[in-house]
Amino acid sequence: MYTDFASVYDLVYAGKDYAAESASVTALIRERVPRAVSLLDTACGTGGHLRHLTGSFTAEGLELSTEMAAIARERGFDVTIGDMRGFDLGRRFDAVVCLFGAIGYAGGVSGLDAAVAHMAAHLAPGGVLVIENFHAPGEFFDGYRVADGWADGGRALTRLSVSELRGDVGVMNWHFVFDDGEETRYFVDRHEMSLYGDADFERAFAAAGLSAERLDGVLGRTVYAGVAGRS
Amino acid sequence: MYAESAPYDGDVLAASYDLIFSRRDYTAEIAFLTGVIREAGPGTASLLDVACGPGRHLAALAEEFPDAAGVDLSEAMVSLAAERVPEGVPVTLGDMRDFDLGRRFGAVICLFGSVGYMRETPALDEAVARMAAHLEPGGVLVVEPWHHPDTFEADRAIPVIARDDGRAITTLIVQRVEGRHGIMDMRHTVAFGTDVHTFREVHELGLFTDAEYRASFEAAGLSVTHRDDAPGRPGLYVGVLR
Repeated sequence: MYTDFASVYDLVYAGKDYAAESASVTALIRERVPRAVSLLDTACGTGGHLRHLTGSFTAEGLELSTEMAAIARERGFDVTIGDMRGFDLGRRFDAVVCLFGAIGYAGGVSGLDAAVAHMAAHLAPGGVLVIENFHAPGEFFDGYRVADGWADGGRALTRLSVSELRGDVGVMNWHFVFDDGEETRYFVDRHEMSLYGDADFERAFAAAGLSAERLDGVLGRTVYAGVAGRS
Repeated sequence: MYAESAPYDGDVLAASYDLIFSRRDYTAEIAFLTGVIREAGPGTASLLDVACGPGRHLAALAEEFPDAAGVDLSEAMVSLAAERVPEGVPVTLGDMRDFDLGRRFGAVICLFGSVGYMRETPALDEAVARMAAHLEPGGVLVVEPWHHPDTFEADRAIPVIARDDGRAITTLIVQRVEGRHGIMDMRHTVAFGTDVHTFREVHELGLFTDAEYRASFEAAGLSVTHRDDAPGRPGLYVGVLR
């Protein structure tokens, strides 16, 4: 996962408004933790949000993909390679975020519980956890096909996406053709995303000692936020 | 991983052709073409579409010119066109350089840059001569050229996408120039339902100059004018058999 996709990730998401999203996340954090200073972005990818969040916070990232982390590091971000379901950075943050549906990679409810527990364990007293869901069951459809194309300078890319619904897992099969100006490559990226609902987040947050608050309209997808106790 | 395919060959790719070109404005093109033909040959009653592909132009033009026919080099395209055109419109397998339908038409058309596949001027001349040989006296030949050497963008990659109810397709076209040929190296990814097929087609076409197109018309005994007011394409060469 993300091995080949890393090289084209930013071309695919060139149209994503990371600045506006980061501003929304910052406001959401400030409403709950007015004096938040430090922030951890779990599953930070190539640092699209970190680029903007570093303006408001002392921010760093956690990323499972070495290829994605390498790109974020080249851009000057402090990124640790690790799995959101089992990481220990040895310090705590005023805010921990997990954006753009990356939580869908956690792998079922046990993965969600483990991820939320580890994120919560990295919260400073009174800190806030912010998770943007991928999709809830019922929001993801089987056999959905999307054709996309991008071109930028000497690079061009097409993506044919075909979805499969397997119980509570939404699978996106992405067929890429990428020309970087030197050569053309075809590769397939398969993303198996767990579909979580309100009850899943409520349970996982509660188990970690947080109360999950559902927020719609803040980001593209549903956001769950919870504030840690003061002690 | 990528199946190699001859241009326009293979059933899946042929079936995808309409989807690939779904953004082309066929209605405007057909109205313009009909006008061009009627202007150059007011009494035109019959029409032959050379390199008719899956027959979209031919099916529509057969309404204007009921005595219509098509020719194409690809078997897959001939069967698609035969299904689409009205009854009584024959679609024949043939090469534009040596086909012989044994009759003549008031108009012969060859669209969408198909003559570019001739690659070299002797072949272009042969093809235009074969088309002219199928014209009645005073008949009209309309050729939509492929790119000229100065209009083809080399070293450029172009993503093309399309989707309808049951299908979706992406095509990445990587363009380059080799000598006097323009090459379009195409990678198609097609989903029919959830089945995904991948194809690579390399199209190598001749980058003929305006003078070369005109010379081929002249050599075939046709007058030639260029219409650059055609919608969304590099104009049309219109000739009348002397």
